[in-house]
Amino acid sequence: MAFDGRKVMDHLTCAFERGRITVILGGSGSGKSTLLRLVAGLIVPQSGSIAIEGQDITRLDDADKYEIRRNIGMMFQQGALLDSISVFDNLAFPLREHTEMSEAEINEEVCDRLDAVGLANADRLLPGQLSGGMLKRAALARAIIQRPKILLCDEPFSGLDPISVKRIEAFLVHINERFDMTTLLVSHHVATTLRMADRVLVLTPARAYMGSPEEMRNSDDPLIHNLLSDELSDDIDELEPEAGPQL
Amino acid sequence: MKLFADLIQNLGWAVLRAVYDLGRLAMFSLSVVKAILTPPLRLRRFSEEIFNQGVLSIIIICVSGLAVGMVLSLQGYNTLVRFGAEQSLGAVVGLSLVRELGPVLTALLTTGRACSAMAAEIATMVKDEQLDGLRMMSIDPVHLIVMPKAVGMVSVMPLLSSLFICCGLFGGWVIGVLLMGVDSGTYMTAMESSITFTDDICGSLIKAVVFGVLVGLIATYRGFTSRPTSEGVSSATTSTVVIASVSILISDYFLTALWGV
Repeated sequence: MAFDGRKVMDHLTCAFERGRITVILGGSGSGKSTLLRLVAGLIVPQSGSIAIEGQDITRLDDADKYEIRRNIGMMFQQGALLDSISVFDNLAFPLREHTEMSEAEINEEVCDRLDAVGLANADRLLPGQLSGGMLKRAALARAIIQRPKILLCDEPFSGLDPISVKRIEAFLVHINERFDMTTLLVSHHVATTLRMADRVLVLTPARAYMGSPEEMRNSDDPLIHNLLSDELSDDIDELEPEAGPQL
Repeated sequence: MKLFADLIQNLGWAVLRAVYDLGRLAMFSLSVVKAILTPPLRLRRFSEEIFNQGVLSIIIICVSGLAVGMVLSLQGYNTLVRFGAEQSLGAVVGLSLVRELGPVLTALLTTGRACSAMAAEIATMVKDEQLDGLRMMSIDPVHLIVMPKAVGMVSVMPLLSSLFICCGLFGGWVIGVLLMGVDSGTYMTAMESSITFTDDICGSLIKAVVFGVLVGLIATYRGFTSRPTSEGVSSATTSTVVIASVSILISDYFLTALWGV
């Protein structure tokens, strides 16, 4: 994968296990967010293939991609909420588009999700009226509103206070177990993500490494060692995750 | 010699880019047509666009139409009176407004007011990843965002053009009859006898529809394909106004020359 001649990813081969949380780590510009966008089918690689449940999404037309995406939820780094409608309507929008649910059912579902991410009182606000942390949580709530099988999260912890980080961490673990969701998560919060991850993918300029959090911690590879040790000073590591909100 | 080679190279790149852009615009237009034919109809979004592009443009269209009609009448009278043909003032003002100035000036005004805003809105959505957010919800952004805006523009353009012409005719009448003293009956009769429904009125409406298609597609295309940066938003807005304005004037010539519209 290359942008304007600059190679971001080359000969990357990896598989993400169903129902597991895989954390993607790497330095800035290593292609973490690009990998998420490739999996989502938002960009197409110059070569190679990306299979979701056996279907190569690089060969699908737009209509088929939209079908596949019914089972994928994505939380964008900047939220990507529609700025002209309220938080409630942002969450209700995909339900109104794709389901036959009544307004009462939609209301219940949306309120449940907002409550789970701690935004029960923010439903009537516009995205522009939310703080950075609230925006992230609203984006996460929208990403899971249709109970997708695959959840892609781009920097879900950046810009959040420690309490919110713990809350989102617990929530992600909870929904992963509850809905048997395959979660791919890009983050710079190494301590937090290693705590919640089942698998870790480390992208470095030289190559990619995949393993369990334990294997990564014990790795002798200087690239992995440097990446993890730089970030493990993160003070969030000292905090224990609290009991998460329930769905 | 090198300067000349660079010039040729740059010219070649510019031509290639123009052809590439035209091809992409054609594909984009096809996707908009496909979206029109695909349910749901998005009537609520469509009515919002009619309001934003049409209703909110009414004041600027009325004021401009009135001013253009008044100037046209004033200039027309001063010219015609030299030949003793001031009785034809109604015909001159009417034909000028209906055949040419109405649709062209309305399209230019709408480009400045509504199309630039349309391009900026879509470009901002590109920058903030809102369109990608829609794609991830399995909602086609062309269907939800682009199609209602483009169709809205095609719908409001003939209506705004008609309003512009009506205001212009009134302005022309006020100056010609009330200020310059041309007989009201003569003025109206000259106008009635010179303007025909099939050639002039229908031609004017066809022009307005063609301009609506052009500026609607250009504005949405520039916004949709903008770079996801602040500079991309401003560039999309500026290029929309420039390209749409030039396209209106060029297509106006060809519509008039080839089909006599």
